[in-house]
Parts: sequence; structure tokens; C-alpha cells
Amino acid sequence: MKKKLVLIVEDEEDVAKYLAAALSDQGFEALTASDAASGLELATQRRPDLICLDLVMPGRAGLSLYREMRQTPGLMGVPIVVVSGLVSADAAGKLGWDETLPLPDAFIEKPVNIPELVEAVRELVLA
Amino acid sequence: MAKAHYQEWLQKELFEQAPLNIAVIDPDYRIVSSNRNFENLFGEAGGRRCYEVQKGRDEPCENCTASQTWLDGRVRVNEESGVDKSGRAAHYLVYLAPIFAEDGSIPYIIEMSADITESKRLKSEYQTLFEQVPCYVTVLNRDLRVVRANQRFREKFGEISGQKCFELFKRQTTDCANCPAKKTFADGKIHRSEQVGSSKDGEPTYYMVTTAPLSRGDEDFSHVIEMAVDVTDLRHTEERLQRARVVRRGLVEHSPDAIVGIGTKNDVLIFNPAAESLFGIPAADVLGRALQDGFLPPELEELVNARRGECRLESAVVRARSGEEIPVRLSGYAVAKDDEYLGTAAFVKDLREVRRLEKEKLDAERLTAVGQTVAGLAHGIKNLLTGLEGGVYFLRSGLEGDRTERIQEGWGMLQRNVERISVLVRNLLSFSKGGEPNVEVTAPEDLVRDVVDLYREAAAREDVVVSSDIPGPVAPAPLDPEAIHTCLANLVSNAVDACQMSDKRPCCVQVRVRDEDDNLVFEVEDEGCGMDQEVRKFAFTNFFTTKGKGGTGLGLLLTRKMTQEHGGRIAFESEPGKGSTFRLIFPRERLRLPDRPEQQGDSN
Repeated sequence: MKKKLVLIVEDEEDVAKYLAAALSDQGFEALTASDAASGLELATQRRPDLICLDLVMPGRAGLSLYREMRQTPGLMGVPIVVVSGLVSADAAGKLGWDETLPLPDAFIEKPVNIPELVEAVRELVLA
Repeated sequence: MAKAHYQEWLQKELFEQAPLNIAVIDPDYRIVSSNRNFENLFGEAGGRRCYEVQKGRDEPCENCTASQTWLDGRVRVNEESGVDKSGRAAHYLVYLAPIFAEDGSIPYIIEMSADITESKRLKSEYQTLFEQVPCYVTVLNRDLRVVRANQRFREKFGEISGQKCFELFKRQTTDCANCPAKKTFADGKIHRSEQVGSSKDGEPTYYMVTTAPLSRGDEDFSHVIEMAVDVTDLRHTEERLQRARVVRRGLVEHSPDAIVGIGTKNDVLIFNPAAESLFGIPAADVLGRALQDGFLPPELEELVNARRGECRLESAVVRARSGEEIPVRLSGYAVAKDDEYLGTAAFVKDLREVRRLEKEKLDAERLTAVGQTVAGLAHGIKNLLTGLEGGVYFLRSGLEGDRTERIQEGWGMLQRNVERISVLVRNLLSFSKGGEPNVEVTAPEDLVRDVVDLYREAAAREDVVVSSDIPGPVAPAPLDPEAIHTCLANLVSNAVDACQMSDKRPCCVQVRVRDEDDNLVFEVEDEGCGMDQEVRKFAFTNFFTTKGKGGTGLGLLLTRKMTQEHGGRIAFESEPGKGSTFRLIFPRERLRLPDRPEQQGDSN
């Protein structure tokens, strides 16, 4: 069976490496992008089975990317797992989150609990 | 001498020596005889007609009094005006007496005249004086009725027609309580008093009045002369001065700022209540005495000694009696009229409250910034923790699977994230630490060179050129060298990062310092990636970082805080793709002087 492809968009290099290693150790193929532009490029080129996205990146890049991915026809249906240190709806609101945005398919809080992440990814990919 | 002879001599001498001009005229008005006085006045008269001699006329006078005496034989006295031998007007009092013959006829008239030219002149002078003297002159009778008044009086108080003085002077119907005229009538002495009248136009008129008896040297007198000097203008000037004095006193007394006036003998002339409370000294203890040394800043003492010029101290210290050093803003100037030095005035504003508020504001800003950014900080810490966990994961899985590259990677991740945590904690600590900068007189150029030296080599490895640009000499300034060094290091570090994020190579960072107007300005300019609107907006408001690895989001906040604690401000401009320029602007007048060592000695 072909390995499921997971795109990790994360500006924190060490975090990206960590998630990629953990997911590939669990039988996924992991790709990383360190900023919004390359994230979107990789996503449209490779059309991953799932995207792990850090919402908090320079400026509002994480949120803009989330919005864009949700509106890109080729990426419709690709589940997005938000991996973030954001702790509250208030913090998300400050970042620019609004009611019109569809909720992410899963939300994983930092520091990341790897079994929880793997569980969520597996469920979404196999669904 | 025989008796007849004596009589003849006596008559001749009487005729010649009597202090009168004597002429004997006949019915044809010819002067048949005249004495020496007469001839001295009118010249040789023998045989000439009286009107020719005395008046220079060709025919008899129209109202000749002598002509009546010829008819009725009565003695007549009248005043005449004539012309003396030099052609000058002469005034004389003429006494005409008939000389009767035995048959009752009048062969001669004897005319005896006294020269009253002098008294006429005096009278005329008196009249002029009376009218023109710059006083209101009136003559009052015992009823206090004005019987005469000079022109000046009439112009001011109106024409007189038997009114009483108080009616004219004051438009009153009853006499005045302190009437000096009544006193003069009572004791015959001169009295003076100050009165307020009302002119015919109803304007208040202030005058100093002197009343004197109008007597001919005897005790009996029926009139009083009243001379009033108008002091209305003087009074108005005085009132204006008085008012100005009251206003000035009010301003000085109620000023919230301390006002100290120092006179020409370095004595304290003004010490208002605000000064009493600022210095903790009652005015009575200092007024009229020399202000003790050391209470006022040396700049003001210099001004007092120089007796000229002015000084403005935005940030100075005065010492209260208790020994407390009080931060103040002070302005002083030497007061002079024309070239005459009158004294020195100092206005002292107590800045304790202002300083307290400034500190409170800084504290509040710091707390707000900390509060606002706990979430952002939490995010940063969570990333660091995730990085640490990642390191642990790599190490463990590397050890378990004996994968060296994972062990190395994990070790690197642990080191990086531990270093980042220590930087974050250091910044956070210095940010939350409040308080006064530790100021000492510092050469600004040295700070710039130190920071450039610190970054030059490491930046060069990334092809970023860090250099200093100091166009001219910059005066030393009271600064906290460590704090400013940290500020500049933060800015340069940001600038180098911005260069690394751009494609330009080599990419330059210049650090400058200069005096601009009255400000000391540090400037860090880079050719890096610049900031878009989004980033500019967040630059100071959050624990915000654009640096994926390594930023704590505290650098600029910390820089701003330390700049503000020096009384300065931070400004920047930036354009995406072109670069950024950050400026630290310190108004020189707000840079506080370092604590003087002797003060510390005093407080022990």
C-alpha cells in the first residue's frame, strides 16, 4: 500500500523536523514547508492526503494560508489538522479567525502529544 | 533861622521832598509849578498844559476831573493812566485839591499824584497768576460761597453764580465733614486736605486742597483763598499701579510653582507659598536674607552672580531644608530695567508628581505589554517545549535504532532550544525589571563602535556588512551605557536578521550617532527585507516575532522601554524589500544628570 502523504507547514524548523520524524516513524510520508508560500505550492503540486498547519506564523501568514487552502478547488476535501500553541478562541480571534471559516478537521495543541497526533492523522486519512 | 524864613524853607522842602508828584495848574491847565518828582516822571513841565505833559495829548481829557473841581471846588481822588517822559504807560492815583483865593475863587488846583504803576503791574501779575496757575483757585466768603474762581476752576466745575463750594466742587447739598476752609475761618491758619470732587461732567476729580486766610495782615478777614491741585491723573496712575501690584501679588502668591526673587544684594525678596512648601522653609526665615548655598542649582547661582542672562533647566535638582533632593524644572532670568540690574527671578516647578506619574505610566505600559502577550509568550514557550520534546524524540529513537544522524540531530535540537529558552528568560527578566537607568556620562560614539565590533565578524560570514557612520563629534551624554548598548545591539541584531531574510548581497547595516537640533540621535539602517504594514503594526504591540528560529519578540519592547526610561522615544520607517531605519531620539534636556557622589554621602 502506498504511504499516505502528510504535508507539515510549520515555521519552527525543529518542530517541523520533529513532527515529520514522528509521522514517518509511524508509516507516513512526511513533507515539510517552513513558510506559507512554499506550503501552498507543495500542497497544490503534491496534493497531500492531509495537511498539518501551524496557524501562528509571521504576520497572519498561517491563517491566510488556512483560508486559501480551504478555498483552493484542488485542495477541497484535504483534511487539515491545526497544530498550534494557541490556547483560546480569544487568541484565535486576535489572530483574525472569523465565523465564516470552516473549522479545522482536528486541533492538536502544542506541546504536541505524538500518539494523539498520530491517532488524529490516522483517523482522518483512513476515513 | 527866623521863623518866617523857616516856614518858607519848610514849605519848599515839603513841596520838593514829598513822595508825590506835585503840580499846580491854572484854569488854562497850564502847569505853573511842579516838584522834582513830577519832573522826574514826566519831564520839564513849566508852562505846558497838564494833558500835554501827563498824557501826551493835544487837548484836554474828555472826563477831566479837574474841570469839575474848577466848578464845584471839591477835592477829588481818581486813578489815571498816563505816559511818562520816556513814553511808557504810567499809572497814578491823583488827588486834586482846589486852592481858594480870598474872594472864594479858585485860581489854582494842586494835583498830587502817586505812581501806582508798580502796584498795577503786581495786580496784573496777580491776576495772571490767579487765572493761569495750574490749580483750581477760589475765594470763599464765610458762607462758603465762591465769590471768585479762576478760569481753570470754571472750566472744570462750571461757571460760578453764588453757589457754595461744596455745591460746585462735589455736587453736594451739605458741607464736607473735613472742610479745610471752615478750619481756616475758625483759626486763621493754613489747612490742607485731600478731597474727591466731581467735575461738571460728573467725573471723579481728586485734588489736594490748601486753604489760607485772605487777610491784609490783620486778624480780621472775611475771605479764604482755596487752592486745589488736581491729582486725578496721579491718582489714576497710582490706582493702576496698585491694581498691578495686587494682581502681581495674587499671581505670585497663588502660583502652583515656586517663585523666588533675589535682589541686588543677593537677598531674597520674593518667596511665595509654593516656594515655602517646596523648600520646607517659612518665607519669614529667608526674606531679606541671603539664600543659603546649595538650595538652588549651581546654574541659577551663576546667573545670580552674573547679573544678566537667563537659564532654563528642564531637569534640575533643588534641595529642601530637610535635605531632600527634589527634581524640578527651573527657569530663571535676570530682571533689568534698561541697563540697571534689579534682581533675579526663578520659577521652579516641582516634578516629583510628574516623575511619579511617568514611572507609573511606564510600569503600567510594561504590565500591559506583559499581560497582552502572555498568550503569545505561551505560544513561543510551547514551540520551544515542542522543539525540546523533538530533540528528546530524536535522541531516544536514534539511541533505540542506533541511528547516529538522529542522535546528532536530536542533540542539536536540544542545544538550540535550551539556548533560546535562556535568551527568552534573560530578556523577560530585563523587561520586567523596572527602575531608573544607571546613568553615567558616556561617549555615544563609543557605544556605537562597541556594538558594531560585536556584530561585524559574525555578520560578515553571512555577507552582511555592519559598519558605523559618525559624521562629526558628538558631545558626551548622561546615559546608562549598558542599557543603550542593549538597545543598539537589539536593533543591529534585528537589522542583520532582516538582511539575512533578503536576497541582497552584500547587505549593509549602518549604525550612526549625531546631534540633531537638541536631540541625541542613534540610528540603525539596514538594506534588509523591510516590514510590510502587518509587521509594522505589530512591531511594538506584542511579543511578536518574525524570526522562525531565535526571536523572543521582546527585543523592540525592551529597547523602547529603556529608551523611554531615558526620556527618549523610538521611531522607525520601513519599506518591504528596501530596508528599515530605526532611530532612538533622546532630547538632551531630558537626559538626567548622574547622581552626584556627594549626595550619596549626605544621605548616609
